[in-house]
Amino acid sequence: MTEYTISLQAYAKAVLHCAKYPWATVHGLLLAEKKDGKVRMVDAIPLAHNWTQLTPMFDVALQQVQAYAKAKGWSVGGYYVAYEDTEATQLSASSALLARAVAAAGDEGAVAFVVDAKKLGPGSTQPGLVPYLSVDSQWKEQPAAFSGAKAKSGAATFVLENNRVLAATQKLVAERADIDIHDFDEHLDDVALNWLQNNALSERIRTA
Amino acid sequence: SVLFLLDTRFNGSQRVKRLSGLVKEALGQSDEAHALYTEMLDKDATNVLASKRLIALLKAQGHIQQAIKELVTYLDTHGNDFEAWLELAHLYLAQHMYPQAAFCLEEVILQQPANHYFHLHYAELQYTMGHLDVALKEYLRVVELSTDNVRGFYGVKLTADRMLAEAKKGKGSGKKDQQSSNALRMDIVPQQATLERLSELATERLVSAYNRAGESSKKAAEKWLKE
Repeated sequence: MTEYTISLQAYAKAVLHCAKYPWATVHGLLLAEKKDGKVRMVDAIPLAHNWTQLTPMFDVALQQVQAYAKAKGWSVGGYYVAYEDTEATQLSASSALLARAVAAAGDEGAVAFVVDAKKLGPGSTQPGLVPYLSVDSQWKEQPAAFSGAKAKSGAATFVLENNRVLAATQKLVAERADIDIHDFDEHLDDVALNWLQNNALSERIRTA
Repeated sequence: SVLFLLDTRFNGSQRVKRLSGLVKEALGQSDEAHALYTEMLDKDATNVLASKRLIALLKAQGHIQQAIKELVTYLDTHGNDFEAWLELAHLYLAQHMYPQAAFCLEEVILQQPANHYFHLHYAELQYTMGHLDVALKEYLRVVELSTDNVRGFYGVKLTADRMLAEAKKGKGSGKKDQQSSNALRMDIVPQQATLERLSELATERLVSAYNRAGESSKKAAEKWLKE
């Protein structure tokens, strides 16, 4: 019966990560703040746009994000992936394994999101995220997520932080704000890039 | 149309045929494009560009296994095309066929041994497969070929530390843990002292590299290096 809220920061950064590398599979992590049994995804940390099935740098990044989250009083709350094939909205076998590692690095209730590219267009009124929760060690797609429908008792609900999130994100994509997002892959090529916070972008999102 | 004019002026031209195939693909006429490329290959089985167009078409349609089959056939004849071996490695990865992908990357490295990028790709695949010893060797080759390569040194430290941890676990249990030494291939395990020195070297080079990093990245990296 957990209620999950996705903040503008988290949603916009995940979408901008996709916008920067539209030809590739991209993935990243979500940071969660838990209060009164509710979970709020406060931020997204983009990880990679290349070799996303290969695990060593994923392991390094996950360990660093875990420590970073803890210092902020948050936890590693989720994983997002956007596939090269825009028709694919099912969590793949290898993504499921990575999501399991992410779940192990956080508290319980971690979410795996697959990005639905079809819902990312300029006029879209639906969030482009398909959530999966771990049930009996299997990742199960959550039906009617973000629909606002009264959830069956025991089911999780997903909402965006407010009704500005989609419009603000679409505006940022149109303005090519994706130029300001830097993932761990980019950081490994140039350590001066701030992949954990993406400060300049965060500020731009805040004022969007 | 332009295509008609081209076809009239350059009748039977290979380039016009391929262009017309590309147009068909762009218009979503995949079956017609497929038929065209197959016809070109029936006339001349060694037509490299038609082969590649066919493979690209199959990949775009999501027929990965068919694309693999065609690419393997192509590589039987053109084994010196390292880019094709690289493409095949990626097709195998898409099918989670890791050993086959590794074989292809080995062919790439044989042909391009001085390019650190391919050693890096191979190292990361070997790590993913659990072959820490091979991964470590290849990461070391990366930093040899590309001075102070940050990704390379992260890999050296990650693999060396994990091998040290595995060795410690083995000692603690008192008997040779057959299961764990199968899961992580420890066939050619360097001496513990060597692993420790490699880990220290990697730490030192990373700390030096991170001097030019921003506050949060630097703190995060230094914390990771200490653990």
